[in-house]
Amino acid sequence: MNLPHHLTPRRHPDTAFRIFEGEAVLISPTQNMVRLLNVTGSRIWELLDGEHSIADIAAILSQEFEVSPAHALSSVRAFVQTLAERQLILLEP
Amino acid sequence: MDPYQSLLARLKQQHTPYAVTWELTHRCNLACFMCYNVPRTHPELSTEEALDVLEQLARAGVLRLTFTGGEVLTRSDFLTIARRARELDFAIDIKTNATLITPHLADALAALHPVSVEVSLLGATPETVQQIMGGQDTFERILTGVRLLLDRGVRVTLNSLMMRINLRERQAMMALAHELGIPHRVVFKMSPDDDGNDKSRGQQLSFEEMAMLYGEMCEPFHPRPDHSQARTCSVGLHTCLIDPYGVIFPCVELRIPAGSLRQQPFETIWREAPIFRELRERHTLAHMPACRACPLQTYCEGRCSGAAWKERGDLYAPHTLACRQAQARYHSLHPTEPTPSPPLFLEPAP
Repeated sequence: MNLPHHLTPRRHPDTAFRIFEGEAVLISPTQNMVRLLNVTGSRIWELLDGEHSIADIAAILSQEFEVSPAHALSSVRAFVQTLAERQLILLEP
Repeated sequence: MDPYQSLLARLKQQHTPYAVTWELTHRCNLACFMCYNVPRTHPELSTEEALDVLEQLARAGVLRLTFTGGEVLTRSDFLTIARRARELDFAIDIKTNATLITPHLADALAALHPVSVEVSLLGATPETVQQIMGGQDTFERILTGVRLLLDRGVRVTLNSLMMRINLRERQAMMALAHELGIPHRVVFKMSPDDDGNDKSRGQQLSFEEMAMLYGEMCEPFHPRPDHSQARTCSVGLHTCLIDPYGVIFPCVELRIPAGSLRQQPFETIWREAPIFRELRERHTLAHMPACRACPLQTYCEGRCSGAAWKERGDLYAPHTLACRQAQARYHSLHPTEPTPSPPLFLEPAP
């Protein structure tokens, strides 16, 4: 299922994180997990602030990482879906 | 190496502060006879100062923050500080004796979503716990506090410092943790006081007692690599301690001040303090001749520069507890062979 591109997901307030040299480390006490994100995932993570929509994030990534808008949108959607399934973000504003 | 371990290795190499232990107070409602805190008369950090420190730590990139004491829950502003820490995206751990936890406070602690709450369990009977920790109904209150947290889904770990006085209750403590369904960690390290006074030395286990515990724990042991650049611990590389007065130290054991947050920013102290520079440059086996020559070196896992400093006045010296632990580890793995003596035990006592 494709997430609507106007959704403005935000980082779950329970999830602790820092970004070290472009790579995010996430600690979810609720899920008892530590996750490391690559540079692209970390940039998406930074933008999951409840202000940027999935479409906004895809547009920024397309520009910054020089990939096609369609490819960026499908990648962002898939990644956001995965984060939501792991309860690391909230899809509701 | 998994990606997380690899990241930690990188942070250590780059001297990026990752984890800070913060003694928010030295006040405590109990009076454990082996407590190493030496409270001072000057004021602890105020709420405003503590909140400013949090901002500084977040800017410096610190992710893991352990709040400890004293007893952190004696600070009336503990929740204010801890909530702000969570807003700043720290992953927090809390060390407490759990005796002050009420249902209302347990709700508030659960809402912080700490990674873990560590509770000291120093005996399996009311009498032993009372003897060690003082207070009133301490054993019952610890268990009540733990259960209140567990009921709210908080991850709790029980820590037991094993001493002569509670050694006979070790199985019962383990059974209690099992009954509660939570992890139980056994530690041997009796720390001298922050000012070096070793008042609880008589409670330290013998190496035979430690060997027995190693045998019971059945944890795998891998001898440490024997090369001159190996470090006996990561002190000064990516962690540090802040005391209640805002003074930064390399770790809870090593009380050589690096600087005061009342006088300098965190990042300046972290980057420039002589003790951090010293540890980063020299804290390797190459500078520990007695340890390098020790026949038990690869069995040693507890050498601590703080303990060496307190016992011998030398950051790079061996110290009694580590040598005894190494003997215990050797004895638990080679029970029929004679246990070698570390060089320290062949020297006259200091």
